[in-house]
Amino acid sequence: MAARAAKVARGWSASVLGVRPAACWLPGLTQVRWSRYGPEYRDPRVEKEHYRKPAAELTEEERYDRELRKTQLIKAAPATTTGSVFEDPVISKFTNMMMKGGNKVLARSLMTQTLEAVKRKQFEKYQAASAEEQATIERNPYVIFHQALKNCEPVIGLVPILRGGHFYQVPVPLAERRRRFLAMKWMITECREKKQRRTLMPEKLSHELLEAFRNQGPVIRRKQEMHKMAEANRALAHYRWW
Amino acid sequence: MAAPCVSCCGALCYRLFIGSRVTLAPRQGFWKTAAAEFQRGAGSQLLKPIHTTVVTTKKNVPVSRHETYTEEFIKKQIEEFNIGKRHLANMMGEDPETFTQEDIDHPEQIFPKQRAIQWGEDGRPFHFLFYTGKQSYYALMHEVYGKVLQVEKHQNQLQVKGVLPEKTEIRDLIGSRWLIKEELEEMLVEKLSDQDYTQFIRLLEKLLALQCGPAEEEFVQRFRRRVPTQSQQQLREPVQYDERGVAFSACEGKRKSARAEAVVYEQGSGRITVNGIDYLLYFPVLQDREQLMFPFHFLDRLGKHDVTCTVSGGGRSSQAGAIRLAMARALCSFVSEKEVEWMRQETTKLLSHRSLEPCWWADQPATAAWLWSRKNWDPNSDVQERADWTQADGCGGMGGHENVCCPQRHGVSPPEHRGGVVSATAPHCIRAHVLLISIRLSHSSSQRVFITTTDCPSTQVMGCLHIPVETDSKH
Repeated sequence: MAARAAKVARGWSASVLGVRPAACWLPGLTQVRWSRYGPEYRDPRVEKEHYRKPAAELTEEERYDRELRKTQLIKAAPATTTGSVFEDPVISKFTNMMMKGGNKVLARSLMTQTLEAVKRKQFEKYQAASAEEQATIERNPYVIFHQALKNCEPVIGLVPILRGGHFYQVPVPLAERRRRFLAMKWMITECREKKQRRTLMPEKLSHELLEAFRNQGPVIRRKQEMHKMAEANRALAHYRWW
Repeated sequence: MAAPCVSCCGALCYRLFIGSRVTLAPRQGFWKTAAAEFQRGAGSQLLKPIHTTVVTTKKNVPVSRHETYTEEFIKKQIEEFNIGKRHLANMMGEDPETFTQEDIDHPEQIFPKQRAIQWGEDGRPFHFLFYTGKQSYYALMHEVYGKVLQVEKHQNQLQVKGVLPEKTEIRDLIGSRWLIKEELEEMLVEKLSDQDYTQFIRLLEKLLALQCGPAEEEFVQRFRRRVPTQSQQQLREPVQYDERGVAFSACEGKRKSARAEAVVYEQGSGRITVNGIDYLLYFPVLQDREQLMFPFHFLDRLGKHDVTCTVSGGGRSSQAGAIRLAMARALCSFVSEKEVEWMRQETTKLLSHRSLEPCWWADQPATAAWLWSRKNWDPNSDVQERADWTQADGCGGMGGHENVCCPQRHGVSPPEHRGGVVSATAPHCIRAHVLLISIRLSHSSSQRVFITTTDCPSTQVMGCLHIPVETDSKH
């Protein structure tokens, strides 16, 4: 109880004391990314099941959290979140990364066509396969998509560190979000640059996704090259100080 | 704990009053102004006399600053003070018998709290922490720390006895917040730094973390303020009824530059009409339709309401967002309090809208970049607007207001200008630190002032300022 009170009080004091990023007021520097919302605004939570849970089932933490949020200001939900069952944050992120020039309509349609293409290919395989093999074939395009991206995520990355006038590529563990970003980035780059002249994006992307799902293909190879380079440079690992 | 603060209005009233009554009186050969007399006589801790004019009739008599007053004089002053108080009561319409200092003191909202002088006549300060500079703050910290030590000692005693302290239930920390720094400054009538404030809050939290008794709780509550529950600030539109008796609710919403008004009918089958067109045709993009369905889907009322809305302005996505906001607000009237709070927590689409940061940088004065080109440079040219200096991006006329003419090359001085001021905008390289090193009076109609900059490595003359001087006035 006392510990929680202390934690809460400290949490409050942090918000009251207005913990702001240090770069706020440096002279000569303008903040490039800003928001209309002040630091006291919290992020919204969209899943309606969270709110439908009766009070009896909540843990103490959750109950406390709910009470707390009553007094807090909360930001408005962005236009991409809907709380619908069909919404997938990974797919949304991937769509945004594929988008060029703000053309979300095109990006989204390419994404749906890709998923459709994945499904069709898997279905064809399913039809042509024997009974034992049918059990192993995955037809849900979302599962394939998630698994493919997970297979493409590198575990360790290289960071250029300046020492004695030279830049050395130092192996460094990557954060979760950096890994996801790299996987998606490599996938998109691969599909844009290394395709035949008249192939469309959905076709190429569905092909790459299926290959990555099976741990094959150029994106997986790129990830493995990254791992090999990190292994080769492991002597430089002590250059890292964080 | 807080420094003795005298509301300045009360003192002012008294001062004005008594000042008018006490006339210039000769005492011991010195003439003193009314203000000084009053302040000595009042006997309370008021400001020291700052405008004291002492005129001696005798020569070679030293001025004594610290007068001793006779008892009768002090008594007489007190009597006059009381009479003045009664007169003031009459003027203010109050009863003279029961007129006290509290009636005179105006509410503190009109006149901010000020510090009275913190030392007595002999110059010794009243508060023992005066020489720390922030006596109220340090006194408060001292007090709080004293309480912390006390509580710890009490707990140690209990532990020694073997009696465990009871776990008190959680206080209402959610509905209140700590004082902000400005409020604390106002309370103490002292300027504080951020570190001071942080330290103070940390100490209070430490006190809270220990199991303190009710007295300490009350003490800490003095430094907390209520925080209102946000959902109560949401207005709920009243439900209206149209001619057929069907209940509906109308609300507005906006997003960026789109404005929408939605009318949500209680009975319906989930049809949405936007500007007279069905929503499927008006919003061909799936994302916009998802936005429209969002409030209904969240409240599990997908096929239960009919909506008619009008929207204008903005783009496709902002129109959808505006309608979403309008519908959510309208739905509040059909929905329970709890669900309103859920909607708010989930999105605050009820309370606010998202919009772009207005383009504040457009009003900033443009500091134009100046470019010098040797090709157009003519050292013997006499014209005011020189062709060798041009502005880089054409946003001229808005930059600095100093009248600095174009800088010269070293060693070459500009020809004499007959009158007139070259008012070109300042080159961006010369910003601050302009030193006037000399003003040379010349026989021409203009004065010449040489300017150099401190950031210049050599003391090169960077430019000269021409100030037109009329021939009549010679400065």
